[in-house]
Amino acid sequence: MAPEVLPKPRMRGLLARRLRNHMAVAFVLSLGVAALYKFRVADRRKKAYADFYRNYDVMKDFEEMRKAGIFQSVK
Amino acid sequence: LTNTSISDAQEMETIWTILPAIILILIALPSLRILYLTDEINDPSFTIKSIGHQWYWTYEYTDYGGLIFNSYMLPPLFLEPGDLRLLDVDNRVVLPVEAPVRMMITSQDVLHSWTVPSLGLKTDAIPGRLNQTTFTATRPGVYYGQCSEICGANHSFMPIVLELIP
Repeated sequence: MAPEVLPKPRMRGLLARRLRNHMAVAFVLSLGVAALYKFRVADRRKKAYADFYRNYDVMKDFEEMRKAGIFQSVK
Repeated sequence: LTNTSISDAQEMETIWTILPAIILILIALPSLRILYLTDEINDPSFTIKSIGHQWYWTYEYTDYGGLIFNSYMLPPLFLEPGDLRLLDVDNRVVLPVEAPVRMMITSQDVLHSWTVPSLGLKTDAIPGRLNQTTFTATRPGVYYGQCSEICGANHSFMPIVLELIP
């Protein structure tokens, strides 16, 4: 059985080609991660805050705290 | 991966010097713009002065009348059930909710730092200098902080307590 012979790699410009390919992949990957972070983390966080404050009742929250006795200036 | 026949790579060297420099400038310019923007338009409705001493804070409410008081940590013997050790003080800083508040912070003696982490506040109290921070709280409650610049033996025992009331 003849051993398999791999094709000879193109030696000329190996480093430059590797660098070019890696840079392209890194660029696309970083754009992708940034977009993913924006939509899945940053926008979700902003929405969570907006949803919380949309129907937030400051006075109701304050009254609950006041009745719990945590304030010194109002009893 | 080795490059045994090292030769000129002028184009590559130029690219990977100039390109990162451009990227950094593109990051820095909007960042500086935002930094200066956060300092500008605030229009606070309330100004309070906070003066750091060894080892307590003095607060001055001089906008409407002249209220000045010291805020010392409650010693352990003076704590009541429910009080927080090393955090509670005798006189709390009472502030309004949903109103921009300006804090002017300085020190009488050595460096201190006026900090309330849950409001995202930390400003150094520097003798001979007046630092300013503004904030608008959105939720009522009691907010705690501790001095954040080493200032001597009782540096850990000069906390800050804000009471935010609507």
